[in-house]
Amino acid sequence: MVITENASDEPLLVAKVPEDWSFLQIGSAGEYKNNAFTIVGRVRLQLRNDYKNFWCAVYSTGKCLWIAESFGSFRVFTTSWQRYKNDATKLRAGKTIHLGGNIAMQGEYVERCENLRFEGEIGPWNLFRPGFFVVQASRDSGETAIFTIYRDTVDILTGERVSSEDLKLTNILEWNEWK
Amino acid sequence: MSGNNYTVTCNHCNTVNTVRGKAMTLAMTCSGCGYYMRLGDWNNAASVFKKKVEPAIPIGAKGRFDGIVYEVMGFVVKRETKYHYSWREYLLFNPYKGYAFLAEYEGNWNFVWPIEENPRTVGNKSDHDLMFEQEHYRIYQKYHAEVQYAVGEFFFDVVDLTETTYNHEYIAPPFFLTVEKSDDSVLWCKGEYCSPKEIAAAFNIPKSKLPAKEGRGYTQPISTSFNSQSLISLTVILFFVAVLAQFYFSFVATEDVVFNEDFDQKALSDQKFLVSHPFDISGSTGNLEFDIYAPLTNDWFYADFSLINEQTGVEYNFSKDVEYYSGVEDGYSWSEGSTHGKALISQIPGGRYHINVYPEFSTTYQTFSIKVTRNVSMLVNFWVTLLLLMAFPIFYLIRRQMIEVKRWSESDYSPYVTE
Repeated sequence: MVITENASDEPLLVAKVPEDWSFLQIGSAGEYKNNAFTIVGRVRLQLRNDYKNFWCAVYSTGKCLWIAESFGSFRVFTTSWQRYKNDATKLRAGKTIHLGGNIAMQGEYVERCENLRFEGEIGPWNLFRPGFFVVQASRDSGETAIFTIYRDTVDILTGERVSSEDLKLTNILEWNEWK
Repeated sequence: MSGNNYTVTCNHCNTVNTVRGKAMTLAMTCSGCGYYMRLGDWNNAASVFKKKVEPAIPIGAKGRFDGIVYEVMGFVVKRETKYHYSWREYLLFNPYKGYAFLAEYEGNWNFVWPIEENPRTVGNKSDHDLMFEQEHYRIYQKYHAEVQYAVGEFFFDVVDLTETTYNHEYIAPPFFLTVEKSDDSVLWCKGEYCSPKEIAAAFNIPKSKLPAKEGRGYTQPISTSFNSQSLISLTVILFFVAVLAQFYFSFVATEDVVFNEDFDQKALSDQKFLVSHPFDISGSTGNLEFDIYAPLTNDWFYADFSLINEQTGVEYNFSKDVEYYSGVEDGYSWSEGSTHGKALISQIPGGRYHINVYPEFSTTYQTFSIKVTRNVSMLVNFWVTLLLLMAFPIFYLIRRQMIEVKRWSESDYSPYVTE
């Protein structure tokens, strides 16, 4: 598989996404806030003690959203990666992380990304090589954030926790052994 | 899991292991030699456990909880590092719901699943009381643990993660909350007590295959079909009903004196009993109160009484002892007993009656009187009702308290121990 970050960059050769038991697939469809989307690609992060599938979905308007999935837990991000300029040393598990504008979240985990795989078409993505740290934080109200920390650069994606039922997913993989 | 070509070769014995969890599995034991293998490129260190433990529920078994089918992926024996007690955990997996755990200690089971909301702390001791989904949870234990044995597959390095996390458990039976904290992660889970019968039914295995249950589980609920609050509310309502009923019966009680006669030993002559004048009782059935009066001081009177219905010949028998003693001792006056003795007979039909009295007199007093009152208010009924009403709630609350004290006896944070 060949991907490019920028047209001017040398193409990056990456390996196939490993098999897992995610029931989403490229071509799965669903709804988020009454807007239909279709999944067109995936970024799979292999973390030290977890994994995160960032499924890239597009609305009919062409606008992109990310659906992060891990062990049946879903988060939807409609924003793009932003640079995080607050104190990065506060990005710790169990600590309060301030996002500005009186929004504070609880750090849930810090995991090193050991592997990164891509498939299909993906929207704007910030990091293409493993070795960065991923921090997940949430509020009880359901707002959530994913941070990536690579050297001195911290990026943030903000969104909300949802259930798979909320997304009204169709064309998903049917694992009949669990029925 | 079918259709799986995901394999890993053991570095120790070269056995090719099928990885059921595919890329999700980050650690597993070799099916050939039992070595614990970390599957990440970043850490492939292997280790071996000293002692093998057979899981009660086999790896690969499927069980249904709340309609969701989970597969047993891994089994681990953990030991608490301070008090050295051990328990067993089963890692369960469902691709649509993620992972969950079954924890077993002394035959008591809990089903445990991750939660994404952070429980809210309450009270002064910030980490001792939590509120979650309208339930109040109290801290039960804080501990470090280590893995003694593992078999199967894990979605995380269960050995390292167990040894690097500090755990807090909070209970609100049948539920509990647990948080595993390390520098890198905070994982909240909620658990619920499951009976061995439910576990056996979930996996369709005989209950006899499961470890024998010893004692009451620390999250095991007190099995009743009601809660304490509803029992107390019901008791209060019934108490007021009983009070109202007593007021009603006191109000309708006519308390008619139907007979009053004095008796003297002289009337006995050579007879063994005295016969009263006949008297009439009107109306249908009702009670009769007999007031036996003997003008005694430091003496006694005893008699057997027979109330006889002159129309039917039916007898109602009772006996009464009247004693009264008094005096002055060391400057203090005292008394004991009474010159009156009362007896109550219920459900006496109307009709003409007389009373036969078989008295036993002392040497000093030879007279007594009988007064019979119809339809008296019976306070004893009220007290008996109240006693019966209170018996079950009191029994229940005492039993509940004893169970709670026992439940917390193994905790370092028992609310029943004052420092």
